[in-house]
Amino acid sequence: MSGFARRVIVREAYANALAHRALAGILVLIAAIAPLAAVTLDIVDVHGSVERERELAARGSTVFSVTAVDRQLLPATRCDALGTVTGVASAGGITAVERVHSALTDRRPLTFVSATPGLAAVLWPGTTAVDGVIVGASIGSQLGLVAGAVLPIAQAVAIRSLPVGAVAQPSTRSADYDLLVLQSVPPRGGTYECLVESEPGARARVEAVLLGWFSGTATAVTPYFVPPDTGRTPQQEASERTSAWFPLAAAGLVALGMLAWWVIRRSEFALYGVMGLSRDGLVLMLVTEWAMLCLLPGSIGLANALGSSAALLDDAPVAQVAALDVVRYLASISVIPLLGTALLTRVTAFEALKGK
Amino acid sequence: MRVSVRGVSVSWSGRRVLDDVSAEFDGPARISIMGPSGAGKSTLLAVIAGQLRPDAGSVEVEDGERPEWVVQSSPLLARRSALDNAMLGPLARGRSVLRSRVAATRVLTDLGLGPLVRGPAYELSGGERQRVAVARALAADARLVLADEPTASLDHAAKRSVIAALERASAYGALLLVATHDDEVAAVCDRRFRLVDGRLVEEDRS
Repeated sequence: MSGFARRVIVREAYANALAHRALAGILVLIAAIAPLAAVTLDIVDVHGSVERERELAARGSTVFSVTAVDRQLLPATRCDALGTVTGVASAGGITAVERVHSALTDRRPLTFVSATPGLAAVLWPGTTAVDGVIVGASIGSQLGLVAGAVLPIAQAVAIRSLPVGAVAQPSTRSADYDLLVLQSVPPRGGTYECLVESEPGARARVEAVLLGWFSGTATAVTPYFVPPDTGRTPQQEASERTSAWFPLAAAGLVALGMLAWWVIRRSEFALYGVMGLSRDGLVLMLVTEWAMLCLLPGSIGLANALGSSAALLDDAPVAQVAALDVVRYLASISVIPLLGTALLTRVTAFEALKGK
Repeated sequence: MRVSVRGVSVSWSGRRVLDDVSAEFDGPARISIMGPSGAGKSTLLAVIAGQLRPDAGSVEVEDGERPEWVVQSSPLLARRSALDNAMLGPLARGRSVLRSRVAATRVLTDLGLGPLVRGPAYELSGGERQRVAVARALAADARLVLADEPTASLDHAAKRSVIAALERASAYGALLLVATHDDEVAAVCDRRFRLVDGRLVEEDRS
């Protein structure tokens, strides 16, 4: 004596969903919209954190200032060597700061800074050391300087003509830097202050390296820029965000819907049990219904979430979170048929016949 | 089809419901088991169906045939059609969808339910639901049909239609064992038994 054929069980699952089309339609909508909304909101949230992190990084949140505790000089070569450390984006040490005047007609006062080559990128992100001086954006526009021009300055009793290697873009770190003239010098002698910029995400690691970098000299490592809201860093915001739970909450909502759908139709499953549907057959029926009402619309919802957020997924951290959300959601809803099986096999055929 | 019940005893909460019950049921035939509520009719059917293990004795069903059930307020797939419900019987026995559809349509028509095959089961009356349950059993070519109070809670007209459907069981080659306290149901049966103090006694039809 044979029982329900597998294809018949699948057909029955489909026919039952069709017979309860209003309820099934609501379930499909929930199963599609819940992951769509959850993943989209999480992506937007993480993207916001990444943007804030970038903004703060542009303002210097990943820059450290290292100075000797007793105001002594730090070795410039050691500061310059920090540029080769993993996680360090750039590092440069200030070797001299002078107050000079331009030798042009207005005799404008200028701050003339000599520093190791890595400092340019710290003061003006994206700028690299060049032959000649780098002129801040304000000075450049006020004096009408361009790359290749010559800036004459009155230094002590002499007039020096400095070739302008580049005019920096306006600094995202401080408007004061737009008033600087920076000359890169080889790392020799001592430096008053070593500015070190870490790669995004490597801030803590770099800070730990800095604490012991200048061995033999007591140093103070301080954040160059403290965000005005303090409290939580963007990385903390991203890792502690409430939206990280949205995919699980969506999966929970869908699971509740599916379990309610099965509980409401408990007598139908009991009837199938009376008719000889085995436990394996019941599992197949529940998996088929789950695939139709939960997995398929959920996949469509997830695809829409990723599609509508495609522009935001160019950021690796956002793409990672999105992938994790998708995996979390799919993994969470995959247990629903097991829960349904546990819920429904409590009804015995005899109970069903007695209308219990 | 033969069902052999040998020395079956079942107790519920210390009360002996079935006491050394023995009988031989041969089909196709209609056999009634009568008795008041609590006499043990349903218990005997459950033992025959293999859903209840007796305290003593044994039941042998020829070829291990799985019975089909018709019970009071038979469960149906409420939102599926009468045809879909009747098809469940043959589908549950591994028949193809086409063969099940043909068999179910034939039996439903035979039982006077032809015009109702497409409508959802929740629109059927109590008597019609019971007849669909009978059709589900007969469409499966079941050789053993167990009916537990199939006419309870039905008005007279509905009861008559269900009895007429049950009468058709033997025409389909089934052995029908019907537990009932309704004399009208028993009247259409070939053999009549009564449970008295847990013992099964066959009544003389004369």
